[in-house]
Parts: sequence; C-alpha cells; structure tokens
Amino acid sequence: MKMSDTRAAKRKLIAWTVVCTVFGAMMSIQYHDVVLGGAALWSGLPDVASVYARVAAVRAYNQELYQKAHHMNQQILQLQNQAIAQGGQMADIERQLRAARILAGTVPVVGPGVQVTISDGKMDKVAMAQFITHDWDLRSVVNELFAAGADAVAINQARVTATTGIFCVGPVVRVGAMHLGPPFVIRAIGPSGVLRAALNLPGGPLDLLRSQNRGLTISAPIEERVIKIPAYEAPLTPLSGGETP
Amino acid sequence: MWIFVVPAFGLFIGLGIGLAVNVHLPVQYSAYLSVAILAALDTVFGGIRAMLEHKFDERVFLTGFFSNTLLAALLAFIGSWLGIDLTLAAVVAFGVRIFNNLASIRHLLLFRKKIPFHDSSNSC
Repeated sequence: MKMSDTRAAKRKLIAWTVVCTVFGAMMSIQYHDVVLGGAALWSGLPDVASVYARVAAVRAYNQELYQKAHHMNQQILQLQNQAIAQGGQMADIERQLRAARILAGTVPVVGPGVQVTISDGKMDKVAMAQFITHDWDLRSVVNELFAAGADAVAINQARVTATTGIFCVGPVVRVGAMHLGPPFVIRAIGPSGVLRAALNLPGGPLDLLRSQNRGLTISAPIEERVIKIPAYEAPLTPLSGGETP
Repeated sequence: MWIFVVPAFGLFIGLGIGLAVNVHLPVQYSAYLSVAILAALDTVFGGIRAMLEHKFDERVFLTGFFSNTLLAALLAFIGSWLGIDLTLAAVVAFGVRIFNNLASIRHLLLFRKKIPFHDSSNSC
C-alpha cells in the first residue's frame, strides 16, 4: 500500500513538472513575440501603427544584435592577439589569420601611411564634366597605392577591399556600399616613404590629375605616423550565391 | 512539499528555455499560440482543482494538457481557413472554464467541499 502511494506521488510530480515546463516555455516564447510587437490575438485588421511599432522594434533588435556581434568580434580579436603574444604553434596560424583578415578588410587597421585629399574644382573655370572628381580618378590613385605595396586603403570612411567597386553615381562616387562626396580623403597604410614616392612619380596619378587643367584641388601626399582605417562595412543584405568550396 | 517545488522549478526552467533559445513564431501563427496558452492555463487550473478534489489522474492530466493545447490551436487554424474566428470561441469557452475552476479552487480551499461544475449561481 505504502509502495504504490509513493509511486503515484512520483507520477503526479513528473506530470506536473512536465506540464509546467512546457507551459513556461510557451509563455516565454509568446512573451518574446509580444515584446517584439505584433503578436496579438486579434490580428485580423491591418493596423498601421502596430506594424510600424513592430518594424521599429525589429530594427532596434537588429541594432542590438549588431552591437553584440561587434562586441564579440572585438573579443575574438583580443583573444587572438593574446594567442600571438603567448607564442607557440597557434601563434603562427593566428598571424596568418590576421594577415588574411587585413587583406579581406574585415578588421580595422592602424599604422603608418600616407594621406592625400582630392577636392572638386570650381565651375567657372572649366566645363562641368571636368571639374568634378570621377570614379576613374579615385581608382587610379587607389591602384597606384596598392601597386606600391599598401596593406589597406580607404576613401573617406569606405574601406577598399577585393570586392569593392568604385564608380560614379550622379554627382557622388559609390565606393562599395557607400556613397561619397568630395572632398575625397584617400588614406593608405604601408611603407609610407614608398607610397608617397609612388604618388609623386612624374607621370603618376597625381601628376596626371594636376596636368589635365581640370581645376581639381589635389593636396600633396602627407606621410603620417598613425593612420586609422576602418573595417569594411557590409551592406545589410547577405551576399548572394557563392559558397566556399 | 516537493509537489510545489519541483513543478515551480520546471516552470522557471521552461521560462528560461523560452527566453534563451530565442525562437520567433511568424506573426500569422502567434494567435494560435495565444489560444494554446489559454487551453494550457485551463488544463493547469483544472489539474489543481482535481488535486484538491482528490480525483487527480496524471494520465488524464498529461493527455489533456497536450491534446487541449494542440486541438485549440488546430481548431483556430482551421477556423482561419474557413473564415470563422474560432479563436473567439476558444477565448470565451476557456475563459469561462478558467474562472469556474478558479471559483471551485477557492471554494475547496475555503470550505473543503465541492461545488457543482455547471451551476453558475453557486460558482462565485
């Protein structure tokens, strides 16, 4: 009699625990959706205000996730720096990884380099098509910098990577996913002396731009001890197609 | 004693799981989860009442919990296909049952006696 009593009590306990666990999970999932907005019982009518609230909530949530991802990336970089500092077998691999990251443009880079500023000219002196800075002007300077051994190049805040296209969109220049207007500050990290000499080469890109009489304002390339180049900022849409083999 | 502590612990575990795993139901399905939660709440209160009346059966309770939640959601889903808002029916039916159960639980706790289930004059 006693035995069957305890067994029944145990079964009761298990039943209640299972039910309470499932019930708790259901409630918290629903709570999550209600907090995000939109998860209402009567959702028959399209309610502009609630849809707008939901969009705002989802946007805030995305922002939060971006912050989190950014924070985690920082932590990963820190840990990798630690691994390199500790030495050993991992350090070599981490060093290669860091080089690959700089090449891919996914991390910000700080180091010595050069800076050159290109601004549009004045309308009164020359024809319209000539006085604005074009995509090919920027491309020639960027190409020259890479050819001279730059590790990282950025135009204003846009990092130039292997997949960054530079082309004109009306009066502005599109660099990757960013639309940039003048003045264009081109910064490069690398052997600063070599980079400066390459830009100043007679017949080089800056010389050509100056000699065309287009009225563009082109600063002399300045060697800097510390140049900060931001990481490539990915557009919000994921890359389509393309898988790593 | 354990009959209170362990299920409460399970409830918190469930809440934690729901908050941690970050599952999001598509908006169009959230109404069904609302109805399912209502059915679950009804079953839980029914279970408490059965415990107090000393006629609790865990098989009835467990099958009732899962079949009620699933059937409530399914019925609401079918209703949305047919253009009949069965969520409304579920809210009314389960709402009445929940309040009946709550009243019975209160009476059982106060007087240790049953009240007839469908006697609304007696249930408040």
